[in-house]
Amino acid sequence: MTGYRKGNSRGGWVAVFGFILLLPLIALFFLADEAEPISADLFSLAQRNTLLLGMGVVLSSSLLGVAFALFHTFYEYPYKRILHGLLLMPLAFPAYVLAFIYLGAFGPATEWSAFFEIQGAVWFLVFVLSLALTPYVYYFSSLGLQSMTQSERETESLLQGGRWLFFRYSTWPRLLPFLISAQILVMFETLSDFGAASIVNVPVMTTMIYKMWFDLFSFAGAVQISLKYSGVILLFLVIEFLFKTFSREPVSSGRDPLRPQSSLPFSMKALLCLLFFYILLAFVYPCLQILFWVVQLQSFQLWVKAAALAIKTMALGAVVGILVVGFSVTLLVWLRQTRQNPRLWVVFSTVGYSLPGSILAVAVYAVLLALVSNVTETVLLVGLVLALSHKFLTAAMRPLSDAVQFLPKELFEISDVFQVPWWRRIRLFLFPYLRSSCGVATLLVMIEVMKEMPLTLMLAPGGFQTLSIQIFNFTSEGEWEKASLPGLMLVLIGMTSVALINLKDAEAGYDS
Amino acid sequence: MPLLSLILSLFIVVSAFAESSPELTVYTSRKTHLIEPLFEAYSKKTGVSIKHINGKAGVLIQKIKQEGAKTKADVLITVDAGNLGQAAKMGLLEPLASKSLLQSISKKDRGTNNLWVGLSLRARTIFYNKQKVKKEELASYQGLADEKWRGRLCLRTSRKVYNQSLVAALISRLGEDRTKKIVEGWVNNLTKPVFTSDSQLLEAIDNGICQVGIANTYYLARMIKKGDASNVGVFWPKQSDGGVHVNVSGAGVIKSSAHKKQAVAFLEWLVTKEAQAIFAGLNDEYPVVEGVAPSETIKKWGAFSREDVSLTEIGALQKKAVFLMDSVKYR
Repeated sequence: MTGYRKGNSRGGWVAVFGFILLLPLIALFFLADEAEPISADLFSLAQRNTLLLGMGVVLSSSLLGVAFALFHTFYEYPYKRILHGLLLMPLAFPAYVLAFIYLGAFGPATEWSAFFEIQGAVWFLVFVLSLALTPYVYYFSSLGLQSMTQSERETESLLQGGRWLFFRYSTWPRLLPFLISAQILVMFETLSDFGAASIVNVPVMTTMIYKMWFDLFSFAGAVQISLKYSGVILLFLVIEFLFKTFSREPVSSGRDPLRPQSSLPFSMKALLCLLFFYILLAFVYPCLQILFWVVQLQSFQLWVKAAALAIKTMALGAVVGILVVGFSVTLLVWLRQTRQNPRLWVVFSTVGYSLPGSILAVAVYAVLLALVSNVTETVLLVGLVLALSHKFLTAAMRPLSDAVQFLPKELFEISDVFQVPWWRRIRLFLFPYLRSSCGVATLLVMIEVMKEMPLTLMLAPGGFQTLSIQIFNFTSEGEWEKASLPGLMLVLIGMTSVALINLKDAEAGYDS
Repeated sequence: MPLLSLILSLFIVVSAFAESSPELTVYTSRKTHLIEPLFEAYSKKTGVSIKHINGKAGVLIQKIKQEGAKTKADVLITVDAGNLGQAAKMGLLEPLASKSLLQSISKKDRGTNNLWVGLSLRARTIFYNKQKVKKEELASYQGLADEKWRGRLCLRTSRKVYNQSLVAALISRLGEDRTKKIVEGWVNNLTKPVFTSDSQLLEAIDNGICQVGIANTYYLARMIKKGDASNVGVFWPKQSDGGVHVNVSGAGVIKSSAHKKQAVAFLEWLVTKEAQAIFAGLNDEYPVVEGVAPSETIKKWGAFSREDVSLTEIGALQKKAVFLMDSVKYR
């Protein structure tokens, strides 16, 4: 692969790119105005809940995810390949879909409420988000443990300290960088959650932003809370950046791969039961419940409406997907051609993903107000498309940057010799190489856009409905059955991205 | 060039979502199935086509404000005096001078300077489980703060504008300090965390999980139509105890509307007996125009006395109500 140029002469462009991506936050800073204060009590409650939620979800998903990953790596067990696939399946459920499924089935209007209260309970929200996010920790941790070798494993029996010394000096260093990456991702997802918190009725910072803007009609108040909250998010972004800069991920030699142990000790049998129980709670039961409600609906009209809505939501996802992938490919190819390191660009592209949708909605709206005197429906729709592109830019940039880096350098040399314009190079030489990566990236962005809730809810022009907006509207009136149909559609769409991950793993021979 | 074409085609796709302008555009927070039959009836009668944009009240009001003079909205139809009052306060509505409108709608069901008019009445009253509560035990909203209701009361979330208006009405009638104590009493008496919907709350009362609660009457009508509300009883607080809290769904003509005359004509039709019967019947709400009978389902619950608080004042006090509820941890 071609080396990168030292002393990047195009550093100015990186700065411009970074500025554009940070523009919403900059707008928040400059447009923050005096606003009527929100109740201090409620604000501190939202802060406390957000903190509890972040810590609770990171802790519980880490415990479960790491335990499953260790088990998966070190032991052979029945139906391993299938269970690996099923462990990733909860990723198909947006957290807010899981929340309304459990709330509808075990909520305050049911007999279950005599045993436990889930409405308004922070622990229940921790439970729901942990169910939804544990697969991230499991997946990342498993990747880390992939680099372990059989000879390392065999030294375990030679060590006097036994299993713990082996874990401390061999397993843990391989696991840690991946675990921290997963925890940061889980933390961002938790801090961004709006839908589940809103459905369960737990005040958190993201729901406070919505409340200020749409319940108390104070956009200035929403800007103020967004500004404060984005400070916390930026702090985590800096931590992530520093971590990625200084950490080294272990590299697998590819030789002497670990041979999983086939006999399961009692503790591992218990863990296998826990794994089954997790899959039951996070995937099997939600699937059955949502199907049960859908079957109960028995309204052809609702089916037709939901199908029309699904097409509209897909169209929005496709527009954003094409825009984001088109931009990413153009940028990355230009960087490759000019032998510039794309790392900083890729890092900047994560800003949007890290920002909660509710903050991004307020920030983009603030930018629109500053730029356009009359925010019409079309302007708002363009704003929504740009905001969604900003948020999910990283979903395209990361996979595409890898694909572009591995393009044969001869392609660029031939193009230089024949002086082919850059856009023709993309179309004639590069696109055939990048076609499948582009397709996958577009699909991933599209799926993320379809599942997204607060940004779409807050920025969509009046009357513009998507599946997630419809779920929000139905669940706010406790109409679980009606919400199940758009919910099921989102789950089916989400399963596509999980299938892609499984396919990728199968190609890499990882889960076998 | 290809990039330009890509951007252009994207904008074409995006613009395709926006449709061409019709004769009358209504922004409404009412559910489509509750409002569309009215639009259809009006179009059939007059030939005026109506485009409607649905959304949450807050979103629509913000939208009209942002669109300013170029807004396509001619009429805003939404629920709750608080929302209508907010639109009025933001200067989005045109005062209504139509004689037939003002004659049909009593003053208490109109906004300040006739900026909006009510179209249907929505009673928010007390419901109880007939097996567990004797009707004689009940008296008023403030009575639900008594200790005898400890562990028996259920409420919907304070996030819902219906409860914000109820508390605003209490502030207007009883003052801020007393209302604070009442709401605090409610919170102490809760047997369950607050519900996110009235339907859930009524279901819980029917199941005996809650013994008493506050909800809008049309939610019970919906349950009755499904056939699963046999244990739920309706209680109307007497006038001497403050009366029944009533709110409206209502409408106003947008100040920047390019079709004000047609918009007013549409509102005039909405308060005719014909439209009122459809309007109230679709969601089992009470007609705002005297002489129009409510639906058969709700007629059985009998008549009630309304609280003596103007809807304009309720709207004006709503923000205070939100802060009051937050301060006593009513979530």
